[in-house]
Amino acid sequence: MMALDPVRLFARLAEALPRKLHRHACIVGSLAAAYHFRTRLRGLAVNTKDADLLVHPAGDVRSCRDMAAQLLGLGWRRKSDCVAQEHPRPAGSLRALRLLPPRSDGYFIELMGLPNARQRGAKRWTPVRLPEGWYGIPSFRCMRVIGEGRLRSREGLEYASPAMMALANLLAHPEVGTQRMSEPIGGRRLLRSAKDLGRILAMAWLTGREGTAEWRDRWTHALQACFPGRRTELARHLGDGFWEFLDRPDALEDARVSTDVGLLAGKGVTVDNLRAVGEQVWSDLVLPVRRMISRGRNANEARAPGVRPRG
Amino acid sequence: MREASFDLAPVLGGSHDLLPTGDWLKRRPSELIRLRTSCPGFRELRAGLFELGTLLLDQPKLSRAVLVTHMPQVTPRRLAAEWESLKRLYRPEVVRRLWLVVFTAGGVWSPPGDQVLELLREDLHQEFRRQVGSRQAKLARVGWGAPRELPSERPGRLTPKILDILKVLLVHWFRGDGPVRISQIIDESGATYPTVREAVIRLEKTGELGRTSNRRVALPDFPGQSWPEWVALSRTLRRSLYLVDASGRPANPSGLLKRLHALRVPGLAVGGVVAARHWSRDFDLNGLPRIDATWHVADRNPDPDWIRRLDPALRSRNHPQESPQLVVHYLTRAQALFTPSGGAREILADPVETLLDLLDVRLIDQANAMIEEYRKKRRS
Repeated sequence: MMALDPVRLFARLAEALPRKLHRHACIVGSLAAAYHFRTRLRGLAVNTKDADLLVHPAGDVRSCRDMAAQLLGLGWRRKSDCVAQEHPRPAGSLRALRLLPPRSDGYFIELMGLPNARQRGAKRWTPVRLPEGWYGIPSFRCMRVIGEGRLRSREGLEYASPAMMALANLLAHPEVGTQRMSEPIGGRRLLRSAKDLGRILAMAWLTGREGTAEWRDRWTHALQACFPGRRTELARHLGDGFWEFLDRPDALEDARVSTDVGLLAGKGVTVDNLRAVGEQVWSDLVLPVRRMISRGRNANEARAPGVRPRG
Repeated sequence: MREASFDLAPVLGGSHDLLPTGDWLKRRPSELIRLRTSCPGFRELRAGLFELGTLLLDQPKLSRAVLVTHMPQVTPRRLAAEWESLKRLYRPEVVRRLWLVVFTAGGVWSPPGDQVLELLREDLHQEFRRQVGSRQAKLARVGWGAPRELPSERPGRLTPKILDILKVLLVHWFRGDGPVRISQIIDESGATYPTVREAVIRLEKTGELGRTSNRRVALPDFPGQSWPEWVALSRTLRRSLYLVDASGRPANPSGLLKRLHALRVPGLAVGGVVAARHWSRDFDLNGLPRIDATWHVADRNPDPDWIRRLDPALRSRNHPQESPQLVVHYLTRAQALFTPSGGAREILADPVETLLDLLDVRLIDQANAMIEEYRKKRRS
């Protein structure tokens, strides 16, 4: 991991990617969060190793191929594990397109696809062919909400809003689980869920309580728009993993370690601070959104005069 | 110069300045004289001396602090014994700078002092004897009825219920309500008639309360002499919950206030700086350091579940150095005496609770300015 200036990296990517493809690209993950909160980062930089690039609309394989070809043509290099396969099947054997910049090994970009409404599995691989062989574009069902309310940077590239990234991370972990990051951070192999759920807390911390209150309607709208057939499940189980996470001191400590080298570096945020923010997120967002979805109410109804969801 | 039933100005004015707190201050060498027109017992005397002792510790440049009071029920021997106990208890550098003048039934008592102090004592005693004789005539002149013979029994200590009654009387003074029926004081404070009577007598003895012929009572002026004692005892009697934001984020009292309004907690009123801005048009403070809320409750251990609904990140503070975001003060008298404001969108605590909140936040200048503003209003 290295400290990256998100503004510079956005500018670099905007320059590297074909302009006609900008409208199909959306930066997500730690780089997007770092860009959004750039003025509040220590040293105006964030420790990250990858720049996730979400390609949309869903299933747009051609844009993925064109982007990869363009970057490779500019001297971007495949990571060592980014190896072309001879055949598109089985899709699970395909490798993700992970490209290093021409003169640095400090970070890489990874191409991902926006999932379509029909995707049922949590993760799906879409084959894409380059001259040397086949690669895979992963799409994660939880990231379907990323398409909602994208923000545009001054450099011209779109990026995911913190509200939607938080929601995607919430959906990605219905339980804390046992999967751990392959590379240690701060001497610990962190729980994958703690890293992602911890990012929700970091973004909520930086946004402030008044700001996150605005996420409620956006979450409700995004869930209803992106997962119309999952109302019952969401009403009952949205945030189950998050609640478990808040109740686990070890997971919260992993989150603290992760946020301390990331978005909240230098701010001295403790486990108690994170837990308190988590309780606010639960009370201000998760519970009200569950209730609104359960009643089949949408954001417009929530804003109508005389109609107040009970918080 | 403020009116008082026992005024030190004829003795001190010229050599001392009258402070907004009611104390007299001589600048060079700096010497502070505090008047308590009546100390019902040794508890109040000790409280008064303790406050001055603390003042001396906080202000090393103050050369002396003197407490002047009237205790007709104690003997000089008892006072001497009390003074000896105090000397053993306090630091020598405090005792050296602390002095006491007590007007007793038989005369005046003070611990041994230098010639300057002895002369001061005699001057004060002479002035005291002159003023007490004219005090009752003055009350009769302003229409508060014929001077009453006050009971000679020793007044009881300042209990929570008596303090409630005194605060209710002061609320009516702030409101400019004029004389109030004793039955109304009973209803509003929730006290019994004997307790209200005791409170009334206490203030009559200090000359800070008057009666009309139809069983109504009122404070003719802000009770500046008793007020420091009420404040000191309120600090121990007032039950408050100090809450900090455990999220570690920068404080946002305005955001919290909006949520508090939206929550509409029954029996809850906003006090502190927010209410002070309503009560005092000249209130001078930028920003909002914290939210003070007065919660009118029937029992002393109500369930503060609404705090969790307001903000689950709020926690009781672990030590006094932590700055609270929200302080909830419990009010247990019979009637809340809150005031709706802004078309009932906001419920405000009464001016007395508001003043106590300001003092709790150490906004002493602002509290004193509010008192002076109302004193001018009531005089005009």
